[in-house]
Amino acid sequence: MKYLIFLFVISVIVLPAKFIIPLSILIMVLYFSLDRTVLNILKRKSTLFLFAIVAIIQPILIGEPTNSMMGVSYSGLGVINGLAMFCRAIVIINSISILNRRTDKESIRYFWGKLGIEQFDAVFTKSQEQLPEIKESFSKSIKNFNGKNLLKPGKSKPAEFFANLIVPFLHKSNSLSSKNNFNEE
Amino acid sequence: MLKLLKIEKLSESNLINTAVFAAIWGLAEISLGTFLHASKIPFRGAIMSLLATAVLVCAKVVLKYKGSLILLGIVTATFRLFLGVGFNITPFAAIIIESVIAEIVINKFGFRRTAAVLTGTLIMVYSITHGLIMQALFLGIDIYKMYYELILKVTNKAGLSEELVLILILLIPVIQIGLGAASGSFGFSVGNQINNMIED
Repeated sequence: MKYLIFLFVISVIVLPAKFIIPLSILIMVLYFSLDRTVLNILKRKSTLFLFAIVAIIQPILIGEPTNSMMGVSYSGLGVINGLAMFCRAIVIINSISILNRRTDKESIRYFWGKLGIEQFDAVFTKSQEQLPEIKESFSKSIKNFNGKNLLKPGKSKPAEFFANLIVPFLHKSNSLSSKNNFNEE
Repeated sequence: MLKLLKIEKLSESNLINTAVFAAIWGLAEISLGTFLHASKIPFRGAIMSLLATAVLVCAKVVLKYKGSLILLGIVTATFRLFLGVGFNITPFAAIIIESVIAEIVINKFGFRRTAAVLTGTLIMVYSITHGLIMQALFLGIDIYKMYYELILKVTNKAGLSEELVLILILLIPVIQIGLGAASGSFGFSVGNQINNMIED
């Protein structure tokens, strides 16, 4: 299936506008049969805004007016190009979303391992363990945060404030005494 | 890049410290990223890139092994992919590319303020390019022609000169790049503070 999805994405990128619209409808019907949530994207405000810009406003303002509807003249070619742009975006976004939903952590681990990053698993697991503790500590500090203090003389500066947040979590045995030495290998 | 990916077996402290920075960056990506996504604030990608620059630069003071920032970016990007809301593939790619930029620049020039500023600048240049490439990929290259013609129509109707509009449009990336440089410098200051605190 993933190869078919790649093929769909490549097709909507390379095909001319007049072919994209019917092809996109077919692809979306297929995606809908796989996942009922794919059409939710059409309810989003940002999607409707994009549609208004590329398929409604653009044909009215740009290009030679060839058609007229309710007294408003617009470019027929502009409508086709705008709709093709919109369809292309919807197909690409849904294709990537479907691939994303079908990807599990195991395949990501396998992928990074294949690239030679064997430490990924250990760091990712440790990071997940640290996350709640760091979140709690940062939340407390942000609650007690007073922005005015950062600017007063004698009070901690922004860099110091953030360093104070991070340092308690760091492993102290790490030798940090030799400054700027990591580029000397 | 492939050389940088050959990461040696990590010591306990390097492993823990990489995990800590990944958790901090991941937490910011999930919480701030979710907030920005929900609020539809413009320049969300630029805001997240400023944060990425500061984290990457200050992390390098602690994570001195080669490829550390790439590993940090990979772990954070995976967090974003599985825990973030919205469309996570583009931030996933952006986080990894930003970490590769930081790793290359700091390895090449060493950990100094100029390198930190250059890192911030290049990350913001990438961030701007990322947005442009993604728009061209998702909507087609014609989107720029459409933007250009729409802007011309609107400016002509408003009676503004094309030069003024062009300056205003170019001013946005210039400001973003300036903020990126400032963020790199700030990350350097935080990194130095961390170094001083650990030495004490």
